[in-house]
Amino acid sequence: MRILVFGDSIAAGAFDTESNGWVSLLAMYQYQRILDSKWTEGDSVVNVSVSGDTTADLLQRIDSDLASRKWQEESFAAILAIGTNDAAKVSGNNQVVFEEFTRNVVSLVSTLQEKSSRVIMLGLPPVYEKLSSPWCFDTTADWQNAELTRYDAELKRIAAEEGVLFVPLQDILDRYSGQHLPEGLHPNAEGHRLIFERVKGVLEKAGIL
Amino acid sequence: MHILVFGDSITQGFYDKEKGGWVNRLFIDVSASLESYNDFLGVFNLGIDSETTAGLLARIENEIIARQSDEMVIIIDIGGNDTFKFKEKGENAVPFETFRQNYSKLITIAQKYGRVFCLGFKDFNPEQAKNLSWYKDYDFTDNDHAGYDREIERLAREHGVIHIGMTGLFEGDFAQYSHDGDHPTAAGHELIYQRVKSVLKQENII
Repeated sequence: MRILVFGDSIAAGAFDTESNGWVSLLAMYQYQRILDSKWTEGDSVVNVSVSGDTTADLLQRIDSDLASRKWQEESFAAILAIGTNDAAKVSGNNQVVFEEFTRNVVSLVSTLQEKSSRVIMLGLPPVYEKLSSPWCFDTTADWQNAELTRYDAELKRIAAEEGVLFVPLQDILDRYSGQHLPEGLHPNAEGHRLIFERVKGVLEKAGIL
Repeated sequence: MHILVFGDSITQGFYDKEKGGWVNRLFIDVSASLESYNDFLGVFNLGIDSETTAGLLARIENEIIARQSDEMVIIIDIGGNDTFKFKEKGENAVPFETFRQNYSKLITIAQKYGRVFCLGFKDFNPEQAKNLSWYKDYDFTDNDHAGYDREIERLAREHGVIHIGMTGLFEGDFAQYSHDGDHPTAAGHELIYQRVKSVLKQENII
């Protein structure tokens, strides 16, 4: 089954200088399966992620991105990997306020449920606050774990309510030492590999891989 | 700066199991040279497998707008699937004249938003491809690959954009560079990337 990933810079693989992120690792894993099985197993992974996107940005483009990538009548799984930029604080306020975030996520899930055969939602990874609050590359942006935890809990709640598979990521990266988050926000190659392994496990269990 | 790459399955990365394709190789290379956020180059892989110029024409403008930045480079890497000739119909998936018009429109649209580069076709080996089950509907006896490819070069010249030719890149060594006569191996993707990279460097893009 084809897999489409809708996300932000983390899903886009920004700052992973080895593999270009967990989605690329998933695509390469699928290429390996395709070649090993002589084209009888595995399918493509398409990354439709945009750096800087919030749920509001994704809502604007999701219909058009989906329309171009709906292969005839083939079924596909959609992975939603967004929310980190919503939780960011700019001038003291969340970039997308909590209530709007909730509405946007519900709407995104509803769109994906209508168009795809399976929807998977990724939770939000933690940040390394020493470099993310404020962010070392842009001090007007501020990511804090307390906010990310709050938005992540909402994603989990909506996933349960909508019957969508949820992949938790809060526990997967080290938020205290920065070993997976060299600039505070984006996982490095090791962090992306951990995310890939977890996502792959969930997709295998769900019969999507 | 954003670099948007529009194309088909080869653009998408099929089947580079080592680094995910030539576009991913560009992304990794650019990321590796990052020193600060201000130098950030966003690379967007907008390849869709099986895509033709007709499919791309329907989506290109929306997708550029959704990924717009102050400085944009748009790489068009499409057309190979247009050339495939269906046995049953006896005509190309996208007839030559329609292909020509579509491709010309793609360049015109892309030029509104940034600098445009057109990639020529990667070497194709019909002898290898014709034995594979998913190519069974195509007739390779009178392949139009070269004619379509020449038209891309001509259109690039006509519109004043840069053409990156790929002919002869695999030097006939399909066993090393292609899995199925069409889709490159990891080594094939690396060759494509190195050729693209040299042009982007020459043009001070990267």
